[in-house]
Amino acid sequence: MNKEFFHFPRLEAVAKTMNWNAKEILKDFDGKPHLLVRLDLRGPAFDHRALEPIVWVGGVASRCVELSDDGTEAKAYFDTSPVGGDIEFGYEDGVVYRWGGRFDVKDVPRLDRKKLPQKLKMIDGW
Amino acid sequence: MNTFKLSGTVIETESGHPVPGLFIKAYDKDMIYDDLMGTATTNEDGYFSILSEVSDYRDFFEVNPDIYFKIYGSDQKRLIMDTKHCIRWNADDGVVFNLKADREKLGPDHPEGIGFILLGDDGAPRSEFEVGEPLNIGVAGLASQTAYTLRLSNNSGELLFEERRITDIEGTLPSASIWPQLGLDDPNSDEPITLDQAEERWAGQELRIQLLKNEKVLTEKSLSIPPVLTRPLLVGTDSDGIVRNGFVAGEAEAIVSGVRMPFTGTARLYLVPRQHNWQPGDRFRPVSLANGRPAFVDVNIDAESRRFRTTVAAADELAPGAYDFIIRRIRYGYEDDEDFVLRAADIVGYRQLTGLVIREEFMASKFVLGGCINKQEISGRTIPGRPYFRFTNVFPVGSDVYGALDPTAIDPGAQGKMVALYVVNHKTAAQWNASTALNHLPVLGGNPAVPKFKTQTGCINYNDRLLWPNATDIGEYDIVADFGNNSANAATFVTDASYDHPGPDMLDGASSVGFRVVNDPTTYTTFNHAGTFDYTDPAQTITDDDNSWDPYKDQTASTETQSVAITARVYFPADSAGQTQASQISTTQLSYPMFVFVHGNGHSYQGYNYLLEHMAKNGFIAAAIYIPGGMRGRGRAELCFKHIDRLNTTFGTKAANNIAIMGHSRGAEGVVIAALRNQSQALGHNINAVISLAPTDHYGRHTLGGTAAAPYLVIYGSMDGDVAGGTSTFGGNTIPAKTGFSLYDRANGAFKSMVFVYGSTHGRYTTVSPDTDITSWWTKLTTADHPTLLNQQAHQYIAKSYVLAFCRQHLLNEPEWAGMLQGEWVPPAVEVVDSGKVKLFVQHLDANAKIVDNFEGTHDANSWKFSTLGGNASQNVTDGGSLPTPPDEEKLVDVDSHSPHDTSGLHLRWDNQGDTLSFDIPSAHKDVSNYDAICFRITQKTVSGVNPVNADQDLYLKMTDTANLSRAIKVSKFTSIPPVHTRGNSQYTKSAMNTVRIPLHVWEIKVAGTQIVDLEELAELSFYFGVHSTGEVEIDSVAFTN
Repeated sequence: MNKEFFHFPRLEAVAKTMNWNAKEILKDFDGKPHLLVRLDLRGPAFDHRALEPIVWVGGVASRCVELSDDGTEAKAYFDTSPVGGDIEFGYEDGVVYRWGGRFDVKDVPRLDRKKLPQKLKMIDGW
Repeated sequence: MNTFKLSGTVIETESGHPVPGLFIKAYDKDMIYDDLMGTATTNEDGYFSILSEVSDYRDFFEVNPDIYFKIYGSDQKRLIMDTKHCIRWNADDGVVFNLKADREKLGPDHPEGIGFILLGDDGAPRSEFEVGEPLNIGVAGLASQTAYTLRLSNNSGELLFEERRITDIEGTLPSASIWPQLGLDDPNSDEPITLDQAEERWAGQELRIQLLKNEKVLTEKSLSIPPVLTRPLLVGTDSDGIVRNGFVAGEAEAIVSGVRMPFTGTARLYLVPRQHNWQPGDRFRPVSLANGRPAFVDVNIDAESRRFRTTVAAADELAPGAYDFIIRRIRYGYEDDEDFVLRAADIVGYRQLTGLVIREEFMASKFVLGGCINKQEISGRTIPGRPYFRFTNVFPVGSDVYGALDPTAIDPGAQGKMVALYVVNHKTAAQWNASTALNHLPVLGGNPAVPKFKTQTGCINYNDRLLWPNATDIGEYDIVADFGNNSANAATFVTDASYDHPGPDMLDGASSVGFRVVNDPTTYTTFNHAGTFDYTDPAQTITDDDNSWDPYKDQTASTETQSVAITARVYFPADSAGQTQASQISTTQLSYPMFVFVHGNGHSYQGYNYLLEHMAKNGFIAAAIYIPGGMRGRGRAELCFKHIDRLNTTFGTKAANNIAIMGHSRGAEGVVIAALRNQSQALGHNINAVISLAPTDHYGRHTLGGTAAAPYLVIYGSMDGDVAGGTSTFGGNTIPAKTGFSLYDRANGAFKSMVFVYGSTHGRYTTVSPDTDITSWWTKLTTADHPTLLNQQAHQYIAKSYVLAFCRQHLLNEPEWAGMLQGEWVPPAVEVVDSGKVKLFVQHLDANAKIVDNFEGTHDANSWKFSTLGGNASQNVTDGGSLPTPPDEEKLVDVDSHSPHDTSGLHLRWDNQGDTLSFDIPSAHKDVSNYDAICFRITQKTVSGVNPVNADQDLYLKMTDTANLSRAIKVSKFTSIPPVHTRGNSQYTKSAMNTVRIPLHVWEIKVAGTQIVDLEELAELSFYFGVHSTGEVEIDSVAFTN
């Protein structure tokens, strides 16, 4: 999924402060386990809107994003592995925050493969 | 002893009656403590006087007092009014005050009997009037809703004017001008006279006005015109000084004559847009003439004559409109003299009346091309601001129905003539053809009580009259202006109680209903009380979409589950206040339909109480359900069903399986998904109305239709700061999405309606955080948009009225709301809310419409030549080579990036008033007589240099039968084609379609000079671009419909 088909110019702002944390997690979709990378973001306000929130890392878009009720945290789930690069947060109509060059896939803690369930949908490109 | 005297009179505002027995306290306003100057009680004439010792009030700095009053009732305790907001500064000894108190505030102290007052242009009581001044009257203390006659005679008893008017529910004849420019027109003829002739004829005369009921004189007033005139007069004339307040655009110069000017030397005369009730300090600006020149001219006023006559605009410089004159002395070197702020020393033509009306060419204003039919708007209401009278066709029960004759619409031969205004039950065109007899409603006193007056050529406000005070009979009505024997003389005027057409008589009705008296769905209720309670049940597992931010790419998006509490707020119809249990639901009915509301993301189920209560008071079990943050389309749909089940359990047999589901934002898309899943999962819920408020469109390219079809309503705003627009991809194609349009466009199989509201935002429909989409950092609005935004009350009124009307129509089977959802009328409360700022446009399509062309299918350079009805066998659409470029039949978003419709249409441009586009009607479809109307969707193209600037576009729709008889109807007489509502961020400006709906019988009614079209033998339907010489529009869904 790419973000280039958006018709309108993106709104961009560089957030001054942002903390992030990434790790592998398991989550069921259609009742089946999926291995995903979860990127937790904190710092700026993550408002609930009608439009869906999206996080990009180095141009790779999240599968879905969950915002906390108070809008202080965003949890972005990736089923395609981001490699590294800028972290961006936005909505369907464009990017609103960008943090430069912070993410590196090597920093993501991995789950113990031996303990994972069978018939697991793995992360693309992992 | 040094004394100061002040005196005054207190009269009742409405009647002019003096008010005796009031206790008056006069004060001197000071910096710290205000001094009481004295007290008095008004006598039988409302008069009072106070003699004060100067030492009582004068302080160190003060020479004269700054006076205000406190006026108490006869009990000396009840404060009636306080004039502290209107202090007479630095008043001189002997100052006289004229005080007016409203009847409502006077309460038990208001004077008894008939109050009859003559008023000048400044609203002050008068008994002396000069030539050219408006003669206004106000009468109170009469019987409610009763016809009275006003008769003006000269001192020899000769009848000058006679009018019949009806009182309002308070027994008052609303203040109105009986002779707008006293003496400047001949009361008994329409022969023009000059200013000098008028002054010579009337100066020194005594006149008498009588008030009569059933030919019995109840009271009368005298007035005098002084032999020596002193007041300045500024009036439109011709070059000979003959009074001319109005004329057709292009026919004459705008000439102004001034007499008795209070200054000499150079003065500047401005032509300015009309304003009601001019006051010093008001800003004005000269009109910009056709060549861009500001409309003012300098004149020289000599000391001897103190008069002038000058041309302020040439004939070809002035556009149709209403204007006033202002003249100001200009002194050399005083740059402040060129400020556009009205000064006390400036002379304004008239404060209440209009100086000059430039009318549209008479025949061009008619709705049938080439035909002289006087089908015009007459019904309306008076409004406090410009334009002071608003035509409207809908009146809530209990409101006052006014009628006005627009001078632009009066047959030139009937201007200045007496007229009677009949209010009759609505008749169709066929019924009018069968009988032209007029029967003024019995509730208004029948034909003997029909209002009559002399028409004026100037402003519409000269010609407005109260027709039906406190209208309470729900129904459909027409109004006829009957010019009878076409007399200018009140003494010889006779109505013929017949609608004569062709002829000068005017009809508001026939082609559509003249006016309706309705229950306003904004305020209408059928239950006096609504009970309410909340419930919260243990969490249940809900399946939701997961990665759905671009689901158009993948309609089989995978799912995830989450645990959600089953929480809702419920309102229900109740028989008494304070009910909080489902068992306390009203016993009036065996069961009640259900209304379930699904809120949007970032919104709250607690933000729609106003709507739930309104629905409950209309007999619905109404619930707003809790949705957790982040939930997407499917999850919202599934929660909707959980709550329907819960409500069925709670209310048992009282809950009918007759359900409306409504959502806001993501919830608005969620209810469409719910309707689809209800059918696909065979859940068995009778969903009879689906309503989407500012919907998202991103959880799949869902189409409400086919076997899941249900009546569908969309409400969406031009200033949505969240769901503002964008595109997505589907099957490799760019699809317009993320607006409220696409769900409407795709819906099929049932009646659908979409209300596009200029100035409406995303959030103001909810009461919890309503301005998030305006103020947040991610808003798609700009500060330039803010002045155009409707207030929250307007949003709530729109939601309450349109949602209720839609639900009552489709769940309670009440057809009377159909016209509202087809754009024929707007609820009265919506019309006036937010200072009358609401502009909304309705698209609609009936499932059973006969589609002439929907412009779908394969598109190429020639596809526009083949209509849906005509098929592809041979060319059946043609422009006859008239259009400058061939029309584009294409996806609308591909021909106009501002047109976010998920449908194809026809984009076309014209550059000549002779241009046309014609659709052949195949012989198999030639009989359209069983349909009620022809309709099509249309919008001005957003980025186009050939549409009128910030103004409506217009065109004719022409039908031709197999005998080659044809008639062209002007579209704007039925539906406007408005300019787009531009946004500060122009990429979000939308070319929103609007459905034009024209009743088919307008092609059948008798119209002099035109042909009647046989609707059983229709051969051709044409768009004829004969109104504006250029234009660029998009058209869709041309159809015959009911």
